[in-house]
Amino acid sequence: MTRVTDAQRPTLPSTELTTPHIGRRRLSWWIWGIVGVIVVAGAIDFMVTTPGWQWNVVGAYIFDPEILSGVFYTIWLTVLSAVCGLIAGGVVAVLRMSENPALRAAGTVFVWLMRAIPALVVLLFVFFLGALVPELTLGIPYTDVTLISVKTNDVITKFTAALIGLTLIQAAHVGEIYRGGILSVSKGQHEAGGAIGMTRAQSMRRIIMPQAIRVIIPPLSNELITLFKNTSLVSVIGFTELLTSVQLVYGRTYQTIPMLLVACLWYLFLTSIAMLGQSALEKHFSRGFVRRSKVQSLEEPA
Amino acid sequence: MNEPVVTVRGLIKKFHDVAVLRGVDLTLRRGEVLSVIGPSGSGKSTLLRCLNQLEEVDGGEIRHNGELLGIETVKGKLMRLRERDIVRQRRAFGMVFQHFNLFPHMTALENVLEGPTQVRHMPKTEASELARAELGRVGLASHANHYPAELSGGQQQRVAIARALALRPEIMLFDEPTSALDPELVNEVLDVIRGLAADGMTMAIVTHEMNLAQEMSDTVVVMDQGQVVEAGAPQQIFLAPQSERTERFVAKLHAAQQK
Ligand SMILES: Nc1ncnc2c1ncn2[C@@H]1O[C@H](COP(=O)(O)OP(=O)(O)O)[C@@H](O)[C@H]1O
Ligand SMILES: [Mg+2]
Repeated sequence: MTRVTDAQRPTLPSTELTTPHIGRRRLSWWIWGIVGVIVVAGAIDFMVTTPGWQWNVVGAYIFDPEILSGVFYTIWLTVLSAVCGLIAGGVVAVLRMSENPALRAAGTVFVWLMRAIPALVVLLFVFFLGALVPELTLGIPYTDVTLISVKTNDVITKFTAALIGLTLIQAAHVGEIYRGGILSVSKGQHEAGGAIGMTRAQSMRRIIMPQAIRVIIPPLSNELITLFKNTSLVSVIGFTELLTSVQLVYGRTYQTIPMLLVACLWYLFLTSIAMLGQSALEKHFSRGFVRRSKVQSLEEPA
Repeated sequence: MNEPVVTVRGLIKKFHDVAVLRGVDLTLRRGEVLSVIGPSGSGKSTLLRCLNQLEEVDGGEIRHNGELLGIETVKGKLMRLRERDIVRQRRAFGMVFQHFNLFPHMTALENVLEGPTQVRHMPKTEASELARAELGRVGLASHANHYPAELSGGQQQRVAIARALALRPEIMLFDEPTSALDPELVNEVLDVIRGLAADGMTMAIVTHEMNLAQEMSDTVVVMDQGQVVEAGAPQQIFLAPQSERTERFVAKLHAAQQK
């Protein structure tokens, strides 16, 4: 190894030592900058000066009780189906990773169905379930033993149909996300858990899940944001969430564009809040995976 | 000679019908340091993993202090044990892996604490004292709050050793503990292992480190193609090998060491 001593270092004039370094700006940097400015200016101009937006109507309706009720039901439906979907997704993941081939097959078929059938169709199917199965019966199959039996149409309301439909779709997607996250943790981690005397369940809870969650959070947040937007699909069965309430208003007033804008503004606002939550969660679960600039070292005991 | 702690007789392990261990016999005595050497793919890791039951055995038997590991006799048939019993039997063994396998989401201290608190259900303060003492033993008391990603390979491996020791195992298993390390980091890990040997720990070490096998071990076992080719004192294996396969492998090790 050759060492460079201070005497051998080339000396720099003092101004070069004190002036901060800056990145080189190429011509393309300026061209794209100017294009960007023009596009943004055009967009603002379009939003402000086009009379069709009818901003006064937007202002009048954005906090209208009918719209606010729609906003509330959108949030409520999102929260409920998110919770149900996160739980049901766990069941799907357990089925898919089961050592029992029958359970594994059940999980695979369910995921296949929910991925292959459009969400809109699933919702319609659940809503019209009464036409296919008039009575829902809980009992022992192929015997006369019946525990509970109810009319399908008493159970399937617009709301429950929306909730069940969204939950089913969610469960498949969420289940696959869980599974991917768990599989992303290396086999060595299971073994290290086993080697310190943990049961499989303990390793799962203490070692695998906390690492999988870091991988799971980004796609899961995306999935929940998609779910939030997908609640608008339930307008097809007439449940009055945000989009349906907006449609009801413009059905009466024919102010289609401003009312759609009202819906957009609410979706934008709520989605942005969700994204903030997402980045906070991602940061929280990155523990141990980003190098901290400063670590508190303890004094070496003498 | 001390009494046997682990005895292996006719051990068979298959992966997808391919026998990877083909009738292995081995005796590990109390306080003995046993090195396992042999070409890559000869089944050394598999043997260690069978000892602490990370792999299920297909035939033969392993006994720890006379108790059969992993199986029991039920109505004249050999049945695999339930997880609960396997976990209990595994407690006699501490394992150190080639790639450390530290828990990346926990600090060094939390890694070492995990076994005592979660598996042994030790009170927090007692466990914490123990864990700090073990980190001290491997010279890393000052790094308790570092995450694995903030430690060098040698430091990570020392934390892994501390993690295994914190469970007070009767036997330590090392699977190529220095193979994943940069050469300048090998010695700090070897020093810790030497210290354990001096303390009388019973150990089985898979290694390519000639020094380690030669100076520290009481017995060297040479494996090839799923079988023990030769077992004996290091002088015998390295200076007067009985089998031609041992001779060839030792010559290769020497050549690699010269480089
Ligand atoms: N989980 C596994 N599945 C299939 N084959 C395996 C598995 N683990 C090890 N093997 C095979 O078993 C043989 C012995 O492997 P191993 O015990 O790791 O050898 P060594 O540690 O001596 O290099 C190799 O041929 C390897 O490919
Ligand atoms: Mg190996």
